[in-house]
Amino acid sequence: MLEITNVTKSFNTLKAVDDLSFTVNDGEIVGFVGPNGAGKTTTMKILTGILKPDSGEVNINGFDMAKQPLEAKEIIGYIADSPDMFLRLKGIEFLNFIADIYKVPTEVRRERIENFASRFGLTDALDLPMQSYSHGMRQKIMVAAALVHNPPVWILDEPLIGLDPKSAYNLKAMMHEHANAGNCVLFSTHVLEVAEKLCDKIIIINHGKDIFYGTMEELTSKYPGKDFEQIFLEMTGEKVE
Amino acid sequence: MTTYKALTKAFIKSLQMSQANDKRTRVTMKVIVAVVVLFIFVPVAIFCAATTFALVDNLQYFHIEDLGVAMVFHMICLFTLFFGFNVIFSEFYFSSDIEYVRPWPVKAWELVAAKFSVSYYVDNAMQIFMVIASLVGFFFAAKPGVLSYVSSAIAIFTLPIVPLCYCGILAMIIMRFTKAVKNKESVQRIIAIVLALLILIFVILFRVLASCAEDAVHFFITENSSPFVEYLNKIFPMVHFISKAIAYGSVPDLLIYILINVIAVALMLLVAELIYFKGFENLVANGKAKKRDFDKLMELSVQKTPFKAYLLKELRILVRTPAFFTNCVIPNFIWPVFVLIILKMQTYDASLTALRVYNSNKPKIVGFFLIMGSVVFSLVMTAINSLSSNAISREGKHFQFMKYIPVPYDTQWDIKVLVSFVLTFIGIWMYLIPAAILIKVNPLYVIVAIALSILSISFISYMGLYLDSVQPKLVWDDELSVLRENTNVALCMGIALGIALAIGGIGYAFYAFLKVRLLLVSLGLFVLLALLNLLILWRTSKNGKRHIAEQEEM
Repeated sequence: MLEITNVTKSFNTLKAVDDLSFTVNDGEIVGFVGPNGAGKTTTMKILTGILKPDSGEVNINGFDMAKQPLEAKEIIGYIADSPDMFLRLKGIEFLNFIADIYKVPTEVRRERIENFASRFGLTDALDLPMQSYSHGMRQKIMVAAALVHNPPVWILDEPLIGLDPKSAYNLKAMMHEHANAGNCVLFSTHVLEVAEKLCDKIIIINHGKDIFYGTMEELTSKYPGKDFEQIFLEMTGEKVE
Repeated sequence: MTTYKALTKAFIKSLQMSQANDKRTRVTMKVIVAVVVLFIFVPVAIFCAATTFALVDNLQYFHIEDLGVAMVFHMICLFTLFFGFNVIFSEFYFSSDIEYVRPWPVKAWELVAAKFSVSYYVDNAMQIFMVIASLVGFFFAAKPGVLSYVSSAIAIFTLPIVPLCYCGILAMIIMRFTKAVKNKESVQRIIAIVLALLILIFVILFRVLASCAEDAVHFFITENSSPFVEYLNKIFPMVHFISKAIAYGSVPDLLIYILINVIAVALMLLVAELIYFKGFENLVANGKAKKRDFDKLMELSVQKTPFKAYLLKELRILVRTPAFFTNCVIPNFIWPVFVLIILKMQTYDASLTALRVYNSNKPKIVGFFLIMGSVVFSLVMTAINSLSSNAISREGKHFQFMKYIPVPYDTQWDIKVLVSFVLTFIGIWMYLIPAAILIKVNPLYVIVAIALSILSISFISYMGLYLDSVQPKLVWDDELSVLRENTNVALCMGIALGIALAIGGIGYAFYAFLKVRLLLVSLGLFVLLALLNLLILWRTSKNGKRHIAEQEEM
């Protein structure tokens, strides 16, 4: 379970996250949507311990990020907003490095790497430097690396960007499997259709504040006759020319 | 022209390091910058001013004082060539903004002119400082007229232009016509070779110049010229004219100097218009490697401790990133080449046999030089290789990784220090131990020197990392830029030089003047270095972790 309570974060005079609170329960996939600069990535960075909130609390499966950061970080699988990471390493070196950091035993990691390699079509690329990968291949490696320790809490920042249809399908299936196994997934996206189809709940954020948190049914019942795209644009004050 | 201005402005803006938010950090940075100015810029300035003064003071009796100015200016031009090549190559071809700008409707000469201006801006602080210092030396020695002052003012800002144009033209020719160059890595290997050659030339010329002040007068009087200057005049023709303009207030020479600069820039822009964009055609992504089969990869996938895995990651990135490898790793292992060159150039016998004989006659003096030398060298080398003073900045966009993995900041900190410590220590002692054995130095002196060296390397490694944690340069374009634009490296060097000078001076004073026994002097140094280590460990444990935790620029 992932819980964020009254979190506020400012950069100089800009309030990036403003008194934000929500919970992602076990067994749920929650979509995090909002316009550019709404505070999604900042919130995710606070959740993973990269940024320290000015106030408020973050709780990951009972571990307070401020007081027990290492315990909290161990159970998170995080995909950052950019896949351009440690490009001088080979794919296999990167996966093993992450597996070592999260203390994944030899046999277990071999099985998981093999599984990811087959699902994402990485087998032929693993022995090459990641610098030579396309954007999509890098993203696939990042997905595999984030999940190689089988973390119960997934925090994924735009995980589908750059993935080919088969890999995107596989990742979405994995998100379902993960939630069905009693774990939780929080992921951000700009593709409203994906959020609509995949998520149990939606958080809509704008100017650092949550303007909606609930199921799709709850949302559409508030705006009868309108689709998610129209509702989103109306809620975030975006006018379509 | 508007495009050129807009591009230059944007490129320069993207280079600048951000200011610290809190007042305490800003004040700390100002104090440290003052230390750097004191220990790096001031000695260089004094050297330039004193050399020029000595040369001009002697030569003006024979009305050839322009030769004195010319010699120093040639050295500054070589310095610009030496450092500019790396900068120009990186700016012209490997900065990431190039990829965005190339599809724009921008002419090649406009882009090159903007990139050239950025290189001039990045590369020139030290050169301008050296030119000013040399001119101060000149003005103290000579009594020039108003026109000399005008020429000097022009020289201060324009002297590096021609050497940088050479770098630019050479870079474009290599990229356009060298088929072997396929990616950044292969180009950087060429840079490394060229740099090694330039370093050799620089070391030789430095030795020649160091003896110039004494030998110059006799040489110049008998020959009325210098083959050294004559030769360099062919490479940097503008120096001959600006030297005359400054020494004698000659307007025609000043005009010719300006003309040469204009021609150099025009030529570079013409070359740019002809071949710059075509130079990118040979660039392809690297990554061809011999692949092992999947089962083999799985066999090699064996669990390691997080400490070992992180350490391996650090080493792999250092070794595989050409810019880091040539600037941070290689210097630790090639320094004996320069020591050998310098020894070969001495008039006294520096052969192994002679050193052995000297050691058997005066073992304490050899012991003193080994102990003090290893301390001073360890301090300076640890700062020069910038393994620690760049360790956090090198993370760049990956910095956030340090924060979200479940590895304590203390552990990550210690690994970064360990990398700096191990590479520096091995680099120094893999040569000094065999040398000490061959010269048959008393083993006790070797053990003492190693102990003091360990403390010296440890102190600078922790201090470098601490400095880099205060205000790391995390936003950078390519790997070379983090090395040359990170002021923390210069700060660390300044402090290390200051401490090395102080320790060397104090040690020498105690041993040579106060006649304190060598082992007692060593004991004193041991206590001093141990205290410095404790101090930096205390600062590190108190604030280092906090700096990482609070760093939010990423």
